[in-house]
Amino acid sequence: MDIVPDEVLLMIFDRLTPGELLGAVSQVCKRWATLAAHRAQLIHREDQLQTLNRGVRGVRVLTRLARSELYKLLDVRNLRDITICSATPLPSECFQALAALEHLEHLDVFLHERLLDTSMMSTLVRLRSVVINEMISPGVLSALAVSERLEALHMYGRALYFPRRDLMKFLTAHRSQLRELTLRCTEVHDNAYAAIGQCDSLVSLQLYSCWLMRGAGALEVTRPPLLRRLHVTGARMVRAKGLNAFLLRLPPQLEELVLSVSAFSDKHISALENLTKLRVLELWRCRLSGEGVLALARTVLSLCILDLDILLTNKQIQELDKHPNLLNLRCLTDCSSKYVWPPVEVSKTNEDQEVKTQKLNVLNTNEVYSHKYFRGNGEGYRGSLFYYWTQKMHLHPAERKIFPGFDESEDFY
Amino acid sequence: MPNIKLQSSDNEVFAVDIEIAKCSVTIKTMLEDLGVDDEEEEVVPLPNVNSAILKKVIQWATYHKDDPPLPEDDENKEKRTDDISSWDADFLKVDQGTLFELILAANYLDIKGLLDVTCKTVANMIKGKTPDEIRKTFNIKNDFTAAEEDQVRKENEWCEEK
Repeated sequence: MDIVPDEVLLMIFDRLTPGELLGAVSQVCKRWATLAAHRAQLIHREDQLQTLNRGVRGVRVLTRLARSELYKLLDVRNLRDITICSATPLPSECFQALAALEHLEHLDVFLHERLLDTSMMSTLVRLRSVVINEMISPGVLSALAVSERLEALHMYGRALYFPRRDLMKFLTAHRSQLRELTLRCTEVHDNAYAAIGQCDSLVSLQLYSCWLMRGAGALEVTRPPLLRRLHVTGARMVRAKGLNAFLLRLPPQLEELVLSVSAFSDKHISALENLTKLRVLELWRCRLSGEGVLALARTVLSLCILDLDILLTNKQIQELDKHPNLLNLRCLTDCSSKYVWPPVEVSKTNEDQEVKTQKLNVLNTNEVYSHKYFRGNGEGYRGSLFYYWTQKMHLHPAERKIFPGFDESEDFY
Repeated sequence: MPNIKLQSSDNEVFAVDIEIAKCSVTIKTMLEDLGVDDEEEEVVPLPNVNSAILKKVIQWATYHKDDPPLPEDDENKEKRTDDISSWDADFLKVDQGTLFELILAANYLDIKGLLDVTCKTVANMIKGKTPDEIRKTFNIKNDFTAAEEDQVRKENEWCEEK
């Protein structure tokens, strides 16, 4: 990485969202932090708004800012990405300010309250992607249905308010242009899955908490011909047989598959045979055995990342290390003491020779589970990815301190 | 089609169709500056690219020779990273060292399309990972002190998409 000059790293960073830049990327090392700051700006104080220069492409705004200050964003003509985090409903002036950003293409809102305001409509129509994390207002979906350019919608929040009618209206409107869709499907029935399956341009489809999905609905979501990422969690109603049919119908170019909280078991492994491009697979709370994991690894040789909450022995992990492509493995390990990899004996025998570096990274599932911001009854790692924000707010009031937008004390600054 | 000879840093010479070589703005400019003569066989030295990488670059350029040029407008540059064609994805199934060398070569040779797709590939390796996973992936040393790390994490915790 050191050989990569700054300008190249910046080109790579241009492909990431402000959230990613200010999140994980800026914590990697000092050099990355400095470079990431060039490409995105976290705004939590009013005077920082004024330091925004024209080169910045995206910002995250914490709306403890005086509301009038949001107007100043209007001066940042090039702004294409905006992420807003607010504990209170945004005033309509704010939406008007947003509507005036003519280059705005990507809107990420994390609001405690309603997202939608009538003045927001004109903005929504122009957007190409929208991320909504929680508290999806009634009518959001039908409002988004009028959008002309929308290609990506990610709604991680609970589906308290999407009447079937709105969802259908939205899906019908965007049937041919929607490329990415994320929904929390708590109340979604098979007929809606059929409508999702009709969206021919979908490349990424993430459906969480599919408690009501049945075999027929599962088959429908495999339809989009360009699909490269498919997440379906909580589909326990899809029984073993239906699951097999679902797996056999998956498009061969699929690269990422998440089937946590499903009936996936050892006998389904062979159904994955044709997925020769599959790089990421997550199976949490499934019925796979430890030996099944090995069989799975032998079947899917393209795997790079395997995410499980299954207990694996050291021996099994060593076996997995021989896999030609596997780089990251998340699993439970059987050491009550701290897990050491590679085992001490192995590294000793290698002392004289050049030590063979272990290619496989092993992460312990429990470390994720016990992470204070993850849901205890997680539907797997990826299903929790954005959703933990909301959990932090609702379940960990004590943690609000580290959430500067909601912190009343000034310690943070 | 007339050929042009490209010489890698380790002195291997590759004969390449001139139109394919011209997808590199660097080579194109070089040829224009030199005033290339079809009669004479020019050898263009590329001191920053070794033969293994040059071979890959030529392979890429040959496959993409009929592609329409990428739009120039930087402001509207696509941020999307999921649109890597399957040929490119297969082509870029290489070790990380090679991938970064390809980026550097694409940057030096000024081949926009190759630069674009290689950067996207790396961006995809960053997306969705924790800082620690990123460090492991790219073998980066964490040079923050514990206190600094804490500070950075605190500052950014709420926007961490972990």
